This record gives sequence, C-alpha cells and structure tokens, in this order.
Amino acid sequence: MNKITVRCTVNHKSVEVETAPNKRLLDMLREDLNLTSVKEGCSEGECGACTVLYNGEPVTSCCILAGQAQGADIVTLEGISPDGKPDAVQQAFMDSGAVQCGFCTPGMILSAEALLAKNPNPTEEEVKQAMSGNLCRCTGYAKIIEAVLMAAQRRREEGQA
Amino acid sequence: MRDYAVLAKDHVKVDALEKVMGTAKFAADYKMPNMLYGGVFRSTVPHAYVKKLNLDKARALPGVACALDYTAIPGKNRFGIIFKDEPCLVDDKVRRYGDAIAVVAAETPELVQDALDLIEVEYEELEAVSSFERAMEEDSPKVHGDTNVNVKKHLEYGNVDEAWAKCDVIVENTYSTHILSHMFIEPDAGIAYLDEQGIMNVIASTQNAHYDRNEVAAMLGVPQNRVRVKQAVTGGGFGGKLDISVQLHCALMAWHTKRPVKMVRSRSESTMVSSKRHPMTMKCKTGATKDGRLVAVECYMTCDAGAYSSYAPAVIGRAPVHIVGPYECPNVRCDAVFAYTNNPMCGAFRGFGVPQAAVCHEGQMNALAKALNMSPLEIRMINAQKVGSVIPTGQKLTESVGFMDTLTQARDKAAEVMPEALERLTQD
Amino acid sequence: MKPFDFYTPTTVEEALKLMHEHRESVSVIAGGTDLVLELNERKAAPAVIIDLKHIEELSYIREEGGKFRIGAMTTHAALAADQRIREKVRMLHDATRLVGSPQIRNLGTIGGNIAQSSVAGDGLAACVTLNADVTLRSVRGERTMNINDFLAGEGKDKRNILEADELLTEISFPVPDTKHTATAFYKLAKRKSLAISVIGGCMTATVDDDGVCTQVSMRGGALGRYPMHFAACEEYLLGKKLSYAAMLEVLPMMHDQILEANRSRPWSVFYKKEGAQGVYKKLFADILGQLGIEEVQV
Repeated sequence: MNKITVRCTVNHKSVEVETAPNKRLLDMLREDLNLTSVKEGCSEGECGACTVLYNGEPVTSCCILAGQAQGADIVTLEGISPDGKPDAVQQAFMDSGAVQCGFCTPGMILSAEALLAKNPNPTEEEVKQAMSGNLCRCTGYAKIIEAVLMAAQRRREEGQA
Repeated sequence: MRDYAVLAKDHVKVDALEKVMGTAKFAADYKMPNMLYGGVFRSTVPHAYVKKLNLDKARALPGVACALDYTAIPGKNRFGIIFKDEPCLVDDKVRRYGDAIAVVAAETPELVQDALDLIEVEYEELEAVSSFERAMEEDSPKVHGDTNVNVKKHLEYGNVDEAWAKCDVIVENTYSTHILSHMFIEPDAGIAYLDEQGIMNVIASTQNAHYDRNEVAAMLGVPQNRVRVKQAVTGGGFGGKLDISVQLHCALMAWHTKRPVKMVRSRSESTMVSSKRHPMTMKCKTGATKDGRLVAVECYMTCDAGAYSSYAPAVIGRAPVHIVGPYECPNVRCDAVFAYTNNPMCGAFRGFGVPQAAVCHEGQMNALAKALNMSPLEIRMINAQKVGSVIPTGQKLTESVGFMDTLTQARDKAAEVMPEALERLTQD
Repeated sequence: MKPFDFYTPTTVEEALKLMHEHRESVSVIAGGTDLVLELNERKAAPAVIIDLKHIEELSYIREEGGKFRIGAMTTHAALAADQRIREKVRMLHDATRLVGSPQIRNLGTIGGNIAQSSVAGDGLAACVTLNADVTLRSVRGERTMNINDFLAGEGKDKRNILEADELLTEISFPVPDTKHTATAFYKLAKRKSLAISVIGGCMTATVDDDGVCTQVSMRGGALGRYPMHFAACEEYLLGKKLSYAAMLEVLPMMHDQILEANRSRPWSVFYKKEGAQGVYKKLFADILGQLGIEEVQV
C-alpha cells in the first residue's frame, strides 16, 4: 500500500499530512492532526457527531476517505475560535443550556456555523432543517434550536452596533 | 420565593466551556506513548460450549502484543453489579451472541482486526433459550446453574382476595413492553495503563467508576487500592454505562503487556453487548367502585432479563412497587419473575422498571374509565396520591406529592393549546 | 479498513485508464456515503480505490437542446439547490432535497445513487420514472442507454450493467413542458431526516389541453429490488381525463401488484401495500395541483 500525502487547509492553515490511504477523514483529523473534537458516534453518517466543514459545507467525516480531502478547506470545532474565546454560537450554546453530555456538541456547532454563514437571519424552521443531520441522544433539541437563534440574533445586534 | 444563590437561577453548566470549545476529553480522545489498541473476539452463537479455541495464528501476527483467553485472568472471572454471573472472558460456555471469548492487543486498530480474523473457534451448540416462556419450561436448557429463574419478587398489601367482592367493575388486560437499547451517542471506550507505582489506572466512559474499580481489582486479584478508575467526560449513559464495558479487557491486556491499552467499541459492538431495557409482560387485574375509586390491583409480571443479571434484582424491586402508579389503592398484589435466557442482557435504563409499570397502570386507568363511562382525567383525579396517602409498601407520604398539581396544570395547559383534544379526553 | 492504493485523477480520461488498469479489483468513490462504510466494516476490500471528487468535468447541470444533462458527480445538495430543476422537475428536486441529511446531501451524488442501484435509492427511482438515459464511459468508448436497460444488465456486481472499468458519467432526460407535465415525489420514512425511504413514491403525468392524460409514469422505490413499475395503473390512466376520483381508481391495482410481488416478504408487504396507497394519494393531489386541474387536500 502506497502512503499518500494529503495537502489541504485545516483550520485556516495549510497542512501536508503523510498518511495511509485506508483511513477516513475522521481518522486523519483525530489521529494524525489530534483534532479530537471530531467525534465518532455511529460510523455511518447517521448521527452527525463527526461533522466538519468541507469547503464551507457540513459533511460527515466518517463517510470521506482521507485522500479525498486533497486540496479541500476543512474546518473543525478547533478552528472556529482559534483565539480560545467562545464565539457567538459557542457562547449561546453555553448560555441557553444546549450542552448536556457534549458528544454531539461539536457537530451541532459546526452545522449551526455553516447555516449562519449563509443565512444570518434564519427562521426556526430553517434552523431545524440545518440541524437535522445531527442527533442529540440527551434530546436537548429545544435548547439547541434556541441557542442557534440566540447566536444569530446576537451577531445581528453586534453587526448593527 | 426566597432569593437563593443557585435555585431558580440560570447557570452555565460547569463543563460547558470545554464542551463547546472541543477540548473536553472523552475516553476515545486519550492517547499515550507506546499505546496498544485492543479488540474482542466475540461469540457468533447464543448458547454453546467452546470446544476449541486457537489463538496461535493471532499471536504470531507481527504487531500483535497479546491474544488472551480466560486462562490469562489472574483473579476472578465473574463480575456483575449485583450477582457475579458474567465472565470477563468465557470459560465454561457462551450464553449470548457477542459473549467475549478472547481479547487481542496490537499496534494499530487495523492489526487488531487482522488478528481477530485469525482466531479460530469450535462450538458445541446448545439450544438457545429465547423467551421467558421457554426459560420456565421444565425441560428447557438452563442458562446458569439449575434454574432459569433469575429473580422473583412478591408484593402484598391489604387483602386482595377479599377486595374483589367490593368492586363494581373489574378490568383485566395484559401489557407487553419491548427491549430497548440506550443508544448513548458515544460508543463505550476506555484506556488502561500501569503507572510507575504499579497501580492499574483505567480511564473510561462510565457511569460507575467505584464499581469499575472493584471489578478490575477482583479480576486482577489485587487490593482495591492498587486500582484507580477515572471517569472520562462521558457521552451519555442513560443507565447503559453502569455495567462494565471495556474496563476489564483493557486492564487485563495492560496487565500482561505492561503497556497502555485503549479500546473503542464500534457502534454495532456497543449495541450488541451493552445492557438493554427489560422487556416486561404484565397481566393485570384492576377493580374499582362505581364512583371510580380503586379497590384492588393484582399483577403478574414476567420478564426475559437476558443472559446476565446486571440490574435485574434492582429493577424487580422497583417495578412491582410502582404497579399502581401515582394512585391510591388499598389492596395490591404483585408477583414478578425475571428469567435468564440467551438474549441480550438487560440492565439499568432510566427508571429501573418504573416506565414499564406505567404502561400497565395507565392502560388500566384508561380501561377503567371506559368501563365506568368516566373521563380518563376524572378517574385519575379521584385516585391521585396526595400528602397523607399510603402507598403499597406501607409508606405514608408526608410531603412533596406533586401529582394532583401536575394533573391540573396539564389540564389547564391543554385547555389553552389543544382544546379539542382536551374536550375529547374529558367527555369520553 | 484493509489496505488499498488510492488515486486521485482530475480528468475522466485519466480515471478510465486507471480503472482499466486495475479492473481486477477496483472501486471508484464518489460521495462515499456507501463505500466508506463498507470499507470501514471490511465488507468491501478492493486493491485500488479511485476518487472521482476532483474530476470537475463530472459535476454540472445543463439545460440544452430540450434536455437536462446532469454530470454524475453532481451532489444531491447541488440538485436540490438548482432553480431550473426545482421549477421544471419537482420530483427530482424533492427526491434529492429529502435524501439523508444536509451532511449526506453535500457528499452523496446522483451518479453514485444510480450506480449503487440500492433498493431504496430516491434519485434512482426519480430517474427511472423520468425514463432517463445514462451515459457510460470506459477506455473502449462511450455508450448511452435507457436507465431500464442499464438496470436490467448484469455487469460486474450484478446490480446493473456497469463493467468493472466502466464509469457512469451522465444522466439526461427531456426537459418537461411544465404547462402540460407535472412530476412529483413523496417519501414515506420513519423520520423527516436521517431516514431511508420506506417507500419512495414517484410520478409524472402529462395532459393535453383538454386535461386528458397523454403520458403517465409511476414508479415506487423500496418496493422491490428495483423501483416498482405500476404499468397497469399507468395503462388505466392513459387516455382518461385526469381527476382525483379517476386516479383513486388505480389504488386497488397498486395494492394487488405490491402484494403479488412481495409474497415472500409478508412482514413488510402488509405495511407497504397500505402505505403505498397513502403515498400515491399525496402524489395525485400534488400532480393535479401543479397542473391546475383540481385542489385536493390529502
């Protein structure tokens, strides 16, 4: 088996990862780059815990081979607020009690970020749609939807200020 | 209301910051230098003697650090939260699909899979006991020892036999609830290592660190102060992480290899062998006077509790006590029998049998309402427990009985948001 | 995952050469939403995997010469977001809009959906209902065929006609005349999201200026190995003036056909024969509404 070199952007930095091709993007991020916010919940694209942003769009990194990330722009939760301070979405998740066991949280936040980047003023229905690929077994959906709407509102207010 | 420092105020959960930043460390996120990965060779039959087990080829594979069967266990090979009836690795026979027969540690997860594929096993299959009914038959194979009765419970309150004569209406129904998986979103995982003082450390996704420590110590045959268990940030449990998952296997392999061993279950492995909600069948007879007051409840409760006992003795303690629900009833009898079978093991699951009992008592209340031509809400209000009520254990409730408030508030809310439905409910 | 060699071609030409060279044991990967799971569970273990993600020439939606031409690597998300598809081929819009989850729609491709030929593939069912053509390419050349012939073929894995070194590159079908033609899709599943179709109901119908049906196509996904063709229902409706009442008359035929075709699967047919009728009532109402014939509440 030939090793492969994956050149891509991860969390706003260019990286070159020499890795085995028989790995998923999920494994490359967790094992080679130590980005352990990317969680493996179901291994079949059903739970959304391994969601990352791939060229700005949310995808389940358990369904992508490492080599397919060649040239892509990947963002994990670690790349959302590199200064170590929670951004509006993260803060809203804390403030509205949207975090329970926390295992779905990274994927949830990334799905929310992808939505708000495109649509800064989503309706509740649009939030539900955008978050529909992320399961929360603690069943905290009401708070999670509330958090995304809260983050959107805060960002709009900040923008106006 | 008094102004409390914590009560009635919003607070940010203590570990919320790490969780939203992605820095919270769950069990699978731990990595150590020189770490091995572990995996389990599991039975593909539900009930069988293991005639032959060949680990040689797995051991010979380069990169495999160990392949162990039960003979490698230095201490006890039986564990369990209440009854010690589950083996760490199968010694006498397989009791369910997915029983652990051998464990393997290797340099990479891929090598672990390769090694597991090289393990050879030969079974002498036995008839699988797959239902409560079959388990109770005299000629059924016995899963453990000489009886398939796992636990029994009898609850007797008042005088049920005499009470039937006082009833104007009696309803009899049978209710069945099904087996359920917790489906915690984080599959079980853990890592074990010996530290420089020779203490076995286990970091795991668990709800039960103290119990885990005792079991690891017993399995290794060392005092409890030689084992330290740390709960990693845990991605949901719902009762399903009260039992042992990877702790013993990690510790056993770390013990033999003197290297850290990490195990992460796949979703399918986790679902296959983690505990389940007890499926129950409740045959229930309930009597009341014509003005709707409960007079007597009698229930025969049976359960296929699976291959190992887990929390069955606790669940069977709770479910019968709750068989009348939040209602006053002066005469109650409940007989419960939980059986061993070769099905998945049932254990703790949010409510310990109380939700199953609720299916029965709420069904019976609806049936009574129908028989008496009363509204389902009214019959509940007539019988609702309140301060001063005595429950079937003989305990008098002296404070904090919120059921009546709940009912009235639910009724008022329903009047507001779903008036048609409420009308149907109160007219019926 | 077993080891394999991995290639990332950027042109079809290059991909076809690689596929031919490694045809003994090769898989191509498009969206990956099926293959990566199979690899991870070691259910698939090809020696070589060829990634199609970087072949830009396979990702397009074109409307030209009265036809829609869709590149095989077009994602469900791209199809669902396309305004032309939304306005002119509602069925394909809805079929792709409702697949999996946002994450899965960003990965999964229409070509992958058709090439996998899964029992419950919604994109596949929609394309069969549209009577689409598929174009396949290999180092030996190109062939374009009707999707039914594609499915009837027995290629390398018996799912369809595709040979080991052959690539599905394009799906094409005539642009419907929306004045006279309506298309509709309805998915019956356990949940709105992250749920595979229990029934993926598809229908197209064309009427003349008098409202008489001149073309009708009815296919149900997840009712058999391939999208079930309700030929008797179509025959009954053809030449009739379309109305909700007239369309309801085909439901007993549909019931019988599902029952007959699934006798060996009593556990699912009991549900599906009833469920399909509910699905098609929704589709009838949708079609009639789009054609402006009748407003029906279902």
